[in-house]
Amino acid sequence: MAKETQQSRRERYLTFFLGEEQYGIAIDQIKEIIAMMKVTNVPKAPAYIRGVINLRGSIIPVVDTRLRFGMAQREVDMHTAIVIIEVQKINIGFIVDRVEEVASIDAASMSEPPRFGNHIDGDFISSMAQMEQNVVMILDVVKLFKDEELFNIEQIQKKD
Amino acid sequence: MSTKQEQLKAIFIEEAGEIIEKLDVDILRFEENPTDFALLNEVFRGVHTLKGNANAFGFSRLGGFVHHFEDVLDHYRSTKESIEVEILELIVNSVDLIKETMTCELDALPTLPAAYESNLEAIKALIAFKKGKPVEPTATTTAPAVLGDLASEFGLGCTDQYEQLLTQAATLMATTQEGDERIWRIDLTLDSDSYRRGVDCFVFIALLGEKAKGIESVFDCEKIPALETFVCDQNFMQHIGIVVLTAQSRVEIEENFEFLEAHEYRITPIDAAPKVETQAVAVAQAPVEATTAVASSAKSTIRIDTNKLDELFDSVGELVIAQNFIAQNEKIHAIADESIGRTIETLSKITKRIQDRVMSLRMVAIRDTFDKMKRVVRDTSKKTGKALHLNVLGEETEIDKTMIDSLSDPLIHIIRNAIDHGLEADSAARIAAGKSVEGTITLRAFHKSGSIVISVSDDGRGINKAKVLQKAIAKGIVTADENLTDSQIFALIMQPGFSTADAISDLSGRGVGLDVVKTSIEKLRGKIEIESVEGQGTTFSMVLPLTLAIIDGMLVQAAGEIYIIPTLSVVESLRPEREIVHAFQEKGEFISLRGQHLPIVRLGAYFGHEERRIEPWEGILVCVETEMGRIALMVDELVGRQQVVIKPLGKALARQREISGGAILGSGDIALILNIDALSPHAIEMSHA
Repeated sequence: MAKETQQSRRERYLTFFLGEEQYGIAIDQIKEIIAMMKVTNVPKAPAYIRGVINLRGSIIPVVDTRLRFGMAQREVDMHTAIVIIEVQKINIGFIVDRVEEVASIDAASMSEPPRFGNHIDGDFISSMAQMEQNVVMILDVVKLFKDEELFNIEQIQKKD
Repeated sequence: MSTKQEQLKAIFIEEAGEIIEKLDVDILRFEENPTDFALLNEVFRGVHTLKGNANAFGFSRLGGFVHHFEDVLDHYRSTKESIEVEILELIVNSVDLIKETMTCELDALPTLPAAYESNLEAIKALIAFKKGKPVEPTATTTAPAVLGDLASEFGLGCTDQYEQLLTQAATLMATTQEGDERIWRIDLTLDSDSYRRGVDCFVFIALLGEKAKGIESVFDCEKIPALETFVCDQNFMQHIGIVVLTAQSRVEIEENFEFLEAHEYRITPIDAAPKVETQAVAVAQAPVEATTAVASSAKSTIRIDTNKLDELFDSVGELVIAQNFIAQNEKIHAIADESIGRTIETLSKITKRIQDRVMSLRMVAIRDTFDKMKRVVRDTSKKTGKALHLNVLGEETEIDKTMIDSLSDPLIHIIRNAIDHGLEADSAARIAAGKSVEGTITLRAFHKSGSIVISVSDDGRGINKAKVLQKAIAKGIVTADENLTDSQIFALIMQPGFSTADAISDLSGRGVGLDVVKTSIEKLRGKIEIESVEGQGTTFSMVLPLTLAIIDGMLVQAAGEIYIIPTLSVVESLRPEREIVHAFQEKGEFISLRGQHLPIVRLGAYFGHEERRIEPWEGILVCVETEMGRIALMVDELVGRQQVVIKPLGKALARQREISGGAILGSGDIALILNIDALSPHAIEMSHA
């Protein structure tokens, strides 16, 4: 019985790797995962925006997640994937090194993110989860681009 | 809460709005050509629907007015009498009044438009005069009159009217009769106990209606008692007259009534009715009216949520790519089967067609909006007493539907402004200026530099710069020592709180100024440009972005990427002679072209990804027209020219001034569309400042 109640508080996350670090994003924010495809460079755009892709007829921006997190850029290999995230009706692609799995994470194993020593601004991370040997950093996608007004621009336009 | 009722009401409001809009256009066309009775028929039909709807939703004041208005239209429609100018004016005004009354009803205002009573009286008097009856005593309040009218509409007072309505219906149907269709009249005589026998007249009407082209029924409601004595299982409508236009034979019609006693129904063909004369007229005109009927039915529209359209758009994108994949797949090509080849070919044709259709869905010609403006021009001309001539150009220019909706109000304002303030006060002033008595207003829509421009020009007195400046200084909008260019001075008139009209007229200057126009255009991410030559006239241009428009683009390649330059802004492209290229002390290069000096903008270098530097005479220069003058864009090569759909790059890249959007090429690759206005050296300088 006890186990069942615990299970009902489990949530599912897509986990992926950037280098050695494992990250997770709530599954309901993920639209799809596609293989790396041709990205058209957009001149004068911020460096971490790699460009735009043609996702079956609609043009969506693609972010180099490594650059966004201040990591070094990396050659594309067969594991490189684009995770398409949909937040507030906006689609954005995130280039990641390798998609791992869809994991059910128990809410009980979640903890507050530490406030120290990561090259990632702690704001992006909503919580840390312990998964067997690994620690998964759960990303808050909305906060991720708050500074860059990716989402705010949309909101401002709606207010007009 | 009664959400269902509210939903219905919302539908009604939308429908009524459409009907009134159509009335407006139709009535104006009718005014131009007052013998076009097919058009009057069209107007009549609209008014008729409006009446029914208005009454159904308890808008009795609107319903009441429309009811009388309908009578007037009906009179002219059926008699085909020529319409006097004054009456035509009354009819046009009535459409206006319907519009205003509608607004009053929607806002549930207790007051009605000022002209309501007088106009209604005029209409009543006209009907009374036409019918040869004495003028009714004026009703002090309209409500009882309306009730009375509804009673006479739905519950018929006398058999005269019963017959009259049936004959009317038959005559109306005769105008659309064609082929082997015949008009039948069916008279039902039901007993009061018919419901208990399971007979309901509405079932018959529905059955007949299924196979009929037109059906009209008249109920004799005389026997319906007051509510207190009403018995629900008793049939009080014992006489029902039905006129039906159908290709069915008598036997087929009779089948519908097989459960009735023989004496309870009578079927008679109306064609053999004594009205041979009118019949002949109707038949003679039938072909003409039939074609207009077809034309109007072909124009019927359906409302679709734009989100659904966007989804459709994306799905078609997927379809095209999947189709391309099949068409270009070598394994499939290797199959030497004729039928497969043919099927793939058919598939590509169909895909192409679907793509074209879907692309055009969101785009509508600006014609309808311009049609509405004709009305505005006419009214303003009458109110100001200024004779004028309206030129309309570029009606076919297609523009995004969502934009069209927000364009009407600014356009109306600018037009009124042009007539009221732009044109000279009277004909004497025009003659003195050596112009024709008739003023000219030109309404124009066209593409320019990847934008859509809608302009309103007048040939009036132009803007008096000194006066504008003086006023702006007096109002504290600018200071006297500012050095302003002409266009900056003109722009002052769109500042809030600025109005040069000495007297506030009824038309413009009702507290909402050009600043409102400016804001609403800016909301569409557009801008307003004013050009004016004193004594010669003024042009207001609304420059609007295309958003989803299809543009004709020139594909160029620079530093390995393909970019699209809107063809409309391209002046020419050339590989320059070495002699005409000049460098200007490391500040930049320019070419001398036929006496003009155009700055050269190296596209690849500007976008920061040029590996090797080539000289202008090794590349291609595309001369384009920007807001800040002509520039020469240097590219590696020209790729081609094609129609592309502009797609936004997403909010993340909305601040990219140099790129106005992207387009998906046939290969599935994305090409970025250049906003050349942001590329001119002057604009670049400004953005760095």
